[in-house]
Amino acid sequence: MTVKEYNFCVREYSDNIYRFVLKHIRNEELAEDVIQDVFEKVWLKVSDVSFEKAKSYLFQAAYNRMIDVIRKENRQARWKTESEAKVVYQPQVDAKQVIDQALERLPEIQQSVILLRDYEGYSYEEIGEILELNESQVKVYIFRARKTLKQYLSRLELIV
Amino acid sequence: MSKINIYTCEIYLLDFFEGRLNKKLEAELRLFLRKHPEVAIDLDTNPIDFFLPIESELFVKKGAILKDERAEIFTDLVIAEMEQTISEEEETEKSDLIELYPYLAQEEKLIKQIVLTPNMDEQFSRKAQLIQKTGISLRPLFYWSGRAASIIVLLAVYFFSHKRELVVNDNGVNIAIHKPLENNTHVFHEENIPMTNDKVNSLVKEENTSQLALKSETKVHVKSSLEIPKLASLPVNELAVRNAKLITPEENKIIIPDKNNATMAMTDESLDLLSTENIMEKLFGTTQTDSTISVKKGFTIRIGKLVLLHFARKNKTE
Repeated sequence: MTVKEYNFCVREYSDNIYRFVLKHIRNEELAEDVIQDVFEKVWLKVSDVSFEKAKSYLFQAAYNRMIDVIRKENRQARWKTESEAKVVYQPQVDAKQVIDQALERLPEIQQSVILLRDYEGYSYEEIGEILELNESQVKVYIFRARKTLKQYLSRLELIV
Repeated sequence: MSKINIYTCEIYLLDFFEGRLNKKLEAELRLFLRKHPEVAIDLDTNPIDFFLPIESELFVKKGAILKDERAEIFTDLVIAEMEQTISEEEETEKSDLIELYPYLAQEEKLIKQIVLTPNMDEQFSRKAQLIQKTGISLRPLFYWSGRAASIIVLLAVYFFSHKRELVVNDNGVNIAIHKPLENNTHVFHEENIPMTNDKVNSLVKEENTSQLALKSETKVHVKSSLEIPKLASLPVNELAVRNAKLITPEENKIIIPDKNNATMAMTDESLDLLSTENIMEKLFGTTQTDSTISVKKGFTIRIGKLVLLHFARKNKTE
């Protein structure tokens, strides 16, 4: 990858990767640190990375780095009681916001597959490459994620 | 700690009526409502219902459970359609289900909302810091110069930590042998000596001195010029000169260390100016001339041979 191509990746992909990471970490500063770290590491071996695969390579690097950060920050706690209560007190009418909240409750891997699928439009195969899963696993995780989101949404609809 | 409180009990009640509550939560809900019957009244629920045995309640909710099961299949079909993995048969099944249960059309609408869309306002703000200047990048330059410097240092360490011993083969070709440096031993410097062993031996023959016989392979060493005077007491056949500084690269120019470790330069011709005894004395610390002198093959032999040649020549003329 040339310097020009590297800069193209920064301009075109950094926002996408940032959103992907932010959805998991839910902390803007931490998410920005992850992206910066990933790009700086990629720059060090810029000649080894092919431009054609740069985007998925960056997503993969960001995912791995993000997992490290999450573990470090001990942010793996899922289905928090506080956030559950928050949803009950403030019923969400906007489906987008509700889905966004529900997303937070999904397991890490399900969040990743569904974000890559919906945000980036990656195929099962590409998602598998990025997250080091096989296609069937990706498919199962996407189905599970959508079903969980649907259950959450329908439950809220009943409340509202 | 129970999750059910005055704020959340409504959700659990709804789940209970739809048959979604597991036995543990149902028991917790019953317990809660027994403690707070006023909450049940507020929610238009008869608190007495919750004092009934669980088994009888479960029987009533079976229909609701069956309904969910059917919806579950429908959900899978809609997700498969969204993921574009639905088969023709499944598509037909889905249509049939909607026809049979019209409320599923609403369900489909709900499921299809579950597509995540990125918030484009969320942008990475440190892009400018990551953009690299095109053209010559200083960073790789630093890396490469650092690597080059490391290699130079390693090579320098290698060469300075190994002594080079020079050997002249029979064809007069210099061969440098690298050996690890031992403690306080002298380093031999490579010299370009024009004369070969054969040439010297032939000269010896020409001089026809019966008193001198060279054995080129014998190993005899003198550690440094400082030791030459001390060697005066030793038999001549154990002597040789090992100090590399004895010979300079210039042709026909020999430096012989004197007794005080000073160097004395002279040409081949100038050797004549010194007496044989003087040379022998200075070089070997002895003037004894009738012994066989054995010297090491190589450039050290040259000193011996040349001096001996000179000595032989002198003898002959005398």
